[in-house]
Amino acid sequence: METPISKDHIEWVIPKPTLNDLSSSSSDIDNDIDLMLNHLQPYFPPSLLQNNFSVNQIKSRLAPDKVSDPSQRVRAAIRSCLKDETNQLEFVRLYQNSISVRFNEFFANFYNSMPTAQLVFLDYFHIIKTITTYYNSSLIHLNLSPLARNLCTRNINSLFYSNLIIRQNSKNSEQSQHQEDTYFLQSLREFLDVYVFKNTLANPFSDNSVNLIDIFTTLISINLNKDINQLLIQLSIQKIKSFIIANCSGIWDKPLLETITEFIQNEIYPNFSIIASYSADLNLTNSVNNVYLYDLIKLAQLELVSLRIKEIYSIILYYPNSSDGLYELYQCLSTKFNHHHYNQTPDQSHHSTNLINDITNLSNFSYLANYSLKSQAYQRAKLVDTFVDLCHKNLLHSGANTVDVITTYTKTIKSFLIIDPKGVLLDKVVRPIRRYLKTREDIIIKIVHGLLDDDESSNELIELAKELRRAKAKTSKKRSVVEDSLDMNWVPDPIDALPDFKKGKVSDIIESLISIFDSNEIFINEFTKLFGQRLVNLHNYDVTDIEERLNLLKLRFGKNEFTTLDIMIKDIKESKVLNKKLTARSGIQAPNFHTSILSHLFWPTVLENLSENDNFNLPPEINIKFEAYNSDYTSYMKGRSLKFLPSLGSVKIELSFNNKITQNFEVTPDRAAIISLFDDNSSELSVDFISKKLNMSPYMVSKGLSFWVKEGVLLELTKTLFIVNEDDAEEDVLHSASIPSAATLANSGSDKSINLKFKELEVLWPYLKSMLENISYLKFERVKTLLKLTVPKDKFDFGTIDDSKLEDYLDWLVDEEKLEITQQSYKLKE
Amino acid sequence: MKVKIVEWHGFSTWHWKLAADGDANSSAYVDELCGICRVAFDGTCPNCKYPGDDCPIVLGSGCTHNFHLHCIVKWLEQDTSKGLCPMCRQIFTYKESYPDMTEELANLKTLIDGHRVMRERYTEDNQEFEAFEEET
Ligand SMILES: [Zn+2]
Ligand SMILES: [Zn+2]
Ligand SMILES: [Zn+2]
Repeated sequence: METPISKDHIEWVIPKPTLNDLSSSSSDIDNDIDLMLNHLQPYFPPSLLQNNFSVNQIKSRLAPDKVSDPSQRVRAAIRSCLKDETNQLEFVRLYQNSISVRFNEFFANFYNSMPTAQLVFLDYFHIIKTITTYYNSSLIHLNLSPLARNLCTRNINSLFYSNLIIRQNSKNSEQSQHQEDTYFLQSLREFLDVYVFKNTLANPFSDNSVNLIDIFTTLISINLNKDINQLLIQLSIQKIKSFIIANCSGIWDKPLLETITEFIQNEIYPNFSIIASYSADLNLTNSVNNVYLYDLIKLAQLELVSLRIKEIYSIILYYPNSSDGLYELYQCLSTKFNHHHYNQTPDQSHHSTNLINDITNLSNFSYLANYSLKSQAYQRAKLVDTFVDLCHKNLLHSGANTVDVITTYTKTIKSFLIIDPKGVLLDKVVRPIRRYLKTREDIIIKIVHGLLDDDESSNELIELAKELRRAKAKTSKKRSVVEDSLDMNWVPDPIDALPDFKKGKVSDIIESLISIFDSNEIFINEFTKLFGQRLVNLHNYDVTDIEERLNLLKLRFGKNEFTTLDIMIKDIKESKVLNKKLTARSGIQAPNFHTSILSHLFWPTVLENLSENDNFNLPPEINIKFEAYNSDYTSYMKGRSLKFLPSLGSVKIELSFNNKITQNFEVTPDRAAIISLFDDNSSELSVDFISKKLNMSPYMVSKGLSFWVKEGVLLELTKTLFIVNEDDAEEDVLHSASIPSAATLANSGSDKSINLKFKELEVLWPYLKSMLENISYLKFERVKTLLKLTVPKDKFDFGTIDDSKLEDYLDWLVDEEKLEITQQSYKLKE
Repeated sequence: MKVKIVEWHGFSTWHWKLAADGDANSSAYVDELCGICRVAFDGTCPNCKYPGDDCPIVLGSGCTHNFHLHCIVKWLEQDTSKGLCPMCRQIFTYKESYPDMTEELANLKTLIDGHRVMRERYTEDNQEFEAFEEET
């Protein structure tokens, strides 16, 4: 419907002059129209219409064309043609049609022929400037009324808009219009990046002479402020995003929100607000500007949360070192994301607009619209889903180690309570872990040991032991409905809580682990077993530590749940008292005998493991002691008697050898009983003999004997014959006192018979070794002399051996590859 | 080599001596249960937590039946027991092996004596009645 302006049209719209007109004017109307149209030709900057219009021409930035000042005659003609507003409006509509044709022709031609890739924003701007200058200079002489002038400007602006912003290059289909910026917008974005955000990386040769004010006022004059704002927002977000990726990824051990805010305040916001102050529709005051700042910070927080969601599993594993990161995640997720903020100053309340609204209104930038979806509720849900997903992938598979899962579980509890102190998210993320833990067979043992072992080096779950110690203030947590309903501090559960959400159940680590199982009994049994073992290994009857621990457990599991353990502890305490009384009666002659007295029905885990094999004969002196003790007991505790459990307990013995050397041992009763048979007995004993004598299984006897062989007290003559190692015992003591254990280790070599032959000489080896380390080669005679000089007489008496024995020993060392012999000299084998 | 045992920390279990011969080597008595509560003697009656001194046993002397002290007291407190052993219905008496009488044992003694008095009165009445009958 674009009809070029013509003389006929003008004649048609412009009424015949009145008489008055005729009298005041010497010209006829036809002539006036010709003159005016002639003046307005060609309705577009001539320089842009030249046939040789090229990239070079644009780049040369020729001064914009201006329409030359009209002559008096033309001015008169214009006045007579555009006499009143009606004439002017009709004229503008027609004039617009002419402009449209030229405008569209030009851009069609421009997009078809120009190598757009070579154009930068300043090239586009040159064209825009040329066009706007041309029309401004052309319109100024028409003396249009404000209304007509405004109409004209709007028309021209919409031509710019359709050709720069909407019009797409011929190659692009219509569908892509909403997804891709036009070349112009791309160049504008690039320009803003370089000149506004000072991105020198994008264009290190940016031209400082560029007149930003001219550029922005011009763009705003053709009504592109909304587009500039959009690009500014896009760019800001992009920059914030890459700043966060670069500066926050994997960094969880220090606060970062302040750095982010500073970055926005110093790097993003100043540029943003300067341009916004030109381009915003509203006359922005400082406080409204602050709305944009707040929104940028909020955007940054959303961005940070998105990053943290991706990292959540690692963050949890990194706990407690990630506490700072977790706390900031909590801050980002809990800051109220609404706009009360702005309403604090009443006079600003009408500025309902803000960045977030702006962004969400920009439906043609779909990725920006996502921000509105990323509300806190969405992010909380996403956080839970991501974590649960990663748990399944990384942790909750059949090959996982129970301790690792428990550790992750406790870290999850602590971390998620930071992120969400109400525990709603925690409740959701722990459910799959709890389900998994319930299937692990070893979980009870792991938890029980974790709770009771205070040794950091051996307890992989030391956190549990610490947690148990922290329990002091907590009263018994029996799960009861009555208690719940009496809770005065009751508040409704948060809206995203699951129906059976209960904070206490998930937030307390121990309670949380225990409650995986429906009944406490399984734990109580394990505690009873573990404590039973400890009480049996306890040799000073001091149950203070165990009692203290039991009291902590009672706080958790209930006071009356540990009847068996109470009886066990009482047994040990009473034994202590009784031992004092009864041993006082029977005198204190050696050996010192005392016994723990157990109520046999209440020590199942200890006594069930005993068999007939444990019922061996005691050394007679101990048997006598026990019988005396038992009869004292019977007379003291009327109606009761004792039954001895020979295999339990601990024995201190002192072995003294022929050479006055004594050694002390603390051993199990079976070992004590075995070695007692060698008392004052220099002949060898067989396994069979010992087994019969002690009524002990041969297996147990053999095990006991090899213990004493290992200690150097006995010698193994054959597999079944043993004898006291009188000399060796002396040597062993010396070895352990003066020589590095490597030597003793080497002595226990496999070839016992040869070893035995040189046993007495082995004391020489360390001296020999250090000698040869200092003097590499030594003939036998030198060796002998030096050894005599260096080895103290009380360690080895050379009078007891002859030279050939020493020589044999040295040769044996050669065979053993400790020494080697070259040219009749000994040296250390390398 | 001399072996000197300096100290021996052993472990034992205690048991009520039930059999008169005091055969301490036999482990058969371990399983013997109180005829009233069906719990082992070395355990506790249903009302006690700690076995042993806190919940002693009583050995029958009239018959061979033994009970937790608390169990037999509870039984004898009922008039319907008539002072009889709940297992064999003989008059219940016990071995007074404790020289120092505890309060609980004194209570048992009172109950047994009470039942004896009741029995004697009943027999006297019957005899009087019989004598009266004979007279008429
Ligand atoms: Zn009973
Ligand atoms: Zn009782
Ligand atoms: Zn009876």
